[in-house]
Amino acid sequence: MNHGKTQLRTGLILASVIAGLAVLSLFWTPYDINQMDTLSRMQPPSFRHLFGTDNMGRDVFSRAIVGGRFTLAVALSTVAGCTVISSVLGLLSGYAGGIIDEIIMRIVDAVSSFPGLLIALIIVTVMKQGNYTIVLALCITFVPSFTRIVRTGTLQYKNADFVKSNKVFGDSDVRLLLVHVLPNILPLLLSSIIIGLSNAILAESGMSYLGLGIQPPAPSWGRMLYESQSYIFNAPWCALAPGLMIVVTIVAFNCIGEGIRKRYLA
Amino acid sequence: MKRKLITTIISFAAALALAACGSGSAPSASGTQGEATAAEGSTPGAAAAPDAGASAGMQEGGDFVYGIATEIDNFDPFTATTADAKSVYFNIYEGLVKVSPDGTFKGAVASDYKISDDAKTYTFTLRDGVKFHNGQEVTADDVIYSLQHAKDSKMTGFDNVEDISSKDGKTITVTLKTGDTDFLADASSPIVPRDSDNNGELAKKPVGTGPFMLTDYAVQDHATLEKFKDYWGTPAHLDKVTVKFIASSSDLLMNFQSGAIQGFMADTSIIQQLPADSAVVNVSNSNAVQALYLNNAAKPFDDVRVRQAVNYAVDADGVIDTVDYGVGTKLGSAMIPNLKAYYDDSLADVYNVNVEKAKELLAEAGLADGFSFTVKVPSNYQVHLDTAQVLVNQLAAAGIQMNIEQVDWATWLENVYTNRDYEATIISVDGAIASPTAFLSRYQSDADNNFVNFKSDQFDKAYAKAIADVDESAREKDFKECQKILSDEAASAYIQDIAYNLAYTKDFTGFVQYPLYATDFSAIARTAK
Repeated sequence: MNHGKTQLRTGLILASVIAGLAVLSLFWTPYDINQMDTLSRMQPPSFRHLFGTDNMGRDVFSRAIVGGRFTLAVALSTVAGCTVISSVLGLLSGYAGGIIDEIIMRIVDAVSSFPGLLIALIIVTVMKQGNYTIVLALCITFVPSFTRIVRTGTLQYKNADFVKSNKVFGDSDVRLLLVHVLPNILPLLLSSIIIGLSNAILAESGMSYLGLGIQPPAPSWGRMLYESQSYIFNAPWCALAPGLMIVVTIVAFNCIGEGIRKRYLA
Repeated sequence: MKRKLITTIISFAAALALAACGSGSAPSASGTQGEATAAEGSTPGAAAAPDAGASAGMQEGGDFVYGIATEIDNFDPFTATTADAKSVYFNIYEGLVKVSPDGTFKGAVASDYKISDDAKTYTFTLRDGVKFHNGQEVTADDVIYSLQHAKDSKMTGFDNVEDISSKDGKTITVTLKTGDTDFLADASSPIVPRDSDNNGELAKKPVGTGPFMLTDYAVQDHATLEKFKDYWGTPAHLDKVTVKFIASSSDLLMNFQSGAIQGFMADTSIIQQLPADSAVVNVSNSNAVQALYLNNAAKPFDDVRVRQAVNYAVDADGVIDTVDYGVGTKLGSAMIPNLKAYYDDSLADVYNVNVEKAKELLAEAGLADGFSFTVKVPSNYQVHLDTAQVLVNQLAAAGIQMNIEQVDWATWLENVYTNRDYEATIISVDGAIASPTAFLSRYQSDADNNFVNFKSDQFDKAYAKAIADVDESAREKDFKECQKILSDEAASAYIQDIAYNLAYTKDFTGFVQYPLYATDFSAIARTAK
C-alpha cells in the first residue's frame, strides 16, 4: 500500500493533460472550431485531423478541446457554487439545530427525493436557457448531498473541546464556524468535491445531450456526443473523441479524489 | 433513460424536415395544381409505376413494416396535426376526390364532379357501391355530414362554404360564398360515416373508405393497417402494413439497418449513412419552405434594409451543400417548386450572396458595426439546428452575430409560432393544402398565422386580387406578383425546399410519390421472387 500515491499521481497527470488542452484551446486550436468544409467531411483520424472531422467537415480535435473548456467551466462553477451554498446551509443547520435544522434538512430531503436530472430539466425548462442556467440547475441538484456532509461534520465538531474552549474565550458564532469548524470539515468535503466534479461533467454532458446545455455552435462534450449519434457507424470517431475525453477526465478526478481520501483522510 | 426522456419531454419529431406547423393545423389532404416534379437525384430503379394494377415484378400479399419518427397524435382526420399522422391516414380515409401522383385530382368517393364557370358551385356525383370499413355503403347523408364537419372543424378552404346539399341522394352540391378554383383540393377532405365523429370518436376508431383499415394501435409503439377487402378501387397488394413509431431519425436508421423496419423516410444527411446498395432511395421535395424567418416587428428586422442585408449574407447553396449534401431546391420566396404554375423560379437568385452589399445596407440602416440577434430553433429538428450552425458562420462574415437558442417543440409552437415572441427562427413551413393560398395567405398583414408579422399594403392588395381571380392565367400572374413582393420586402431569408428521402429494402417495389407528404401503402408490393 502506497496510500493512494499512485492514484493521486495518475489523476493529477491526466487532469493536467485535459486542463492543459483546455487552456491551450484558449489561445490556439489546430482549426477554427466552426469552420466547415464539405469536401473533407467525415474524414477518419489522420495527422491532418487528429480525431477526424464531423459531418460538416469540422475538426473534431479542435472541437473536443474547446468543448472541454465549456464542459470543465460548467463543472467547476457548478461545484464551486454548490460548495459555497452547501457550506452555509450545512453549518447553519448543524450548528443551530432545532427548528432551523429541521427546516433546512426537510427541504434538502425534498430536493433529493427527485432524480437530479429531472430537477435540472425542470429548472432549465422554466428559466431562460443559457449557460448560467445550466450551472444553477446542476448546482441545485448537487446541494443536498454536500449539505448533508457539511452538517454531519458540523455536528461532529461543534461539541469538540477546541471549539468549546474558543467559545469560552468569547469567539463569535460566525468566527467559530468559519475559523474552527469549517477547516476541519474541508478534507471530508474535498473528496466529495472531486467526485462532484466528475458527476457534474456527466450531468452537463447529459443535459447537452438532451439539447438543454451549451447552445450550438459552441461545442461541449455532451453536445458533440449528441450530434454524432446519427453517424456512429460511418464516423465513430465523432463520438469517440468526446467520449474519450469524458472518460479520461472522470478517471482523473476519481483518482485524485480517491488518492486524497486514502492518503490524507484514511 | 436519456432516450425515454427525449421521447417524453420533447415530442421528438426527429430530424425530418417537415414543419408540422402548417397553418395552425387544418389537416386536410392536399394536392398540387401543377404537375409533380420528379425530384433530382433519384436512385436508379426507384421510379415507381403509378398505376396500381398488378404490374410485372409484383407479388400479391405479404407484410411491410414502415418506421416513422413522429408519434401519431390521433386518427381523427379533422383534428390530427402532425404531418406523419396525415401521411398514414392518407391510406385510411378518402375524400370525394383524391390527389394523384401527378398532382391532379381524381374522383374517389365521388365518381365525377362538375365546377361551374364562376367556380362557385361544385357538383359531385356519388360513386356506386363505395363502402366504409364498417361495411355500410356511403350515402349522400354521410358526405353532407363529413363536409359540414370539415367546415365546423375549420379546415382550410371550408370557411368559404355557403351551402352543402343533395337533391336526389346521388349528387352533392357545394355552393361557395366567393369563387374559388382551389376548392377541389379542399374537397379531398375525408368522408366518414354520418355522426361518427360528433365527439371525436374517430381519433381511436377510424372509419374511412380507404384501401387500408386500422386494426390495431398501441400508443408509442405501432399501428397496424390491414387491407380493406371491399375497397371500391384497385385493392392493395399487401395484406398488412405495420407502422412503427421510432423516436428519432438516427434510431430509424439503426432499425432499418438491423432489419426491424423495411422502409422509412428521412433527410439526406441520414440517408447518406446507408451503405451503398443496401436500400432503394426515392428522393422528392418535402413541399415546405425552409427559411430563416425574421420577426418583422422586432428590432432591427423592422427595417427592410436589415432584412435585405440578412438575405444577402445568407448563402442558401452553402446550407444545402453543408447540411443536405447538396440535395435540395433553393428558394427565394414562400412558394414550393411543386406548385409549378405559381412558382417563380427567378426569385431564388435575387439575393445571391453579396457580403459587401449586406454591409452597405446595414450601414444605411445605421448598423455599420453590425448587430446581434438570437435565433430560436426547435431542438427536435436536427436539420434546422445544423442549418443554424451554418448560418452563424455566413452571417458573421457580414458582421452579424447570430446566437442560437434551442427550444423544445411545444415551447416553439407556443412562444414563437403562437405568441410571436422571438427575433428569428428556422423552420420549414408546409402548406395545409398544396395550393398557393396555403403558402401565401399567412403573409397578409392581419392573418392569424402571420407569425413573421409581415406588413405590406402592397402585398395585401396583390393577394386579395389573386384569390379573387377566376381566370387561371391571371391567377398565376398575381400569385407570382405576391411572391415578388415577399422577395422585394425580404419578408424572411428563404433557404430551400428540403429534400425528403424514402428508403426501403429491395424486397419491395411500387412506391409512388405524391406532391404532398404521404406514403401510399396500397401501391406498394413485395417484389416477385
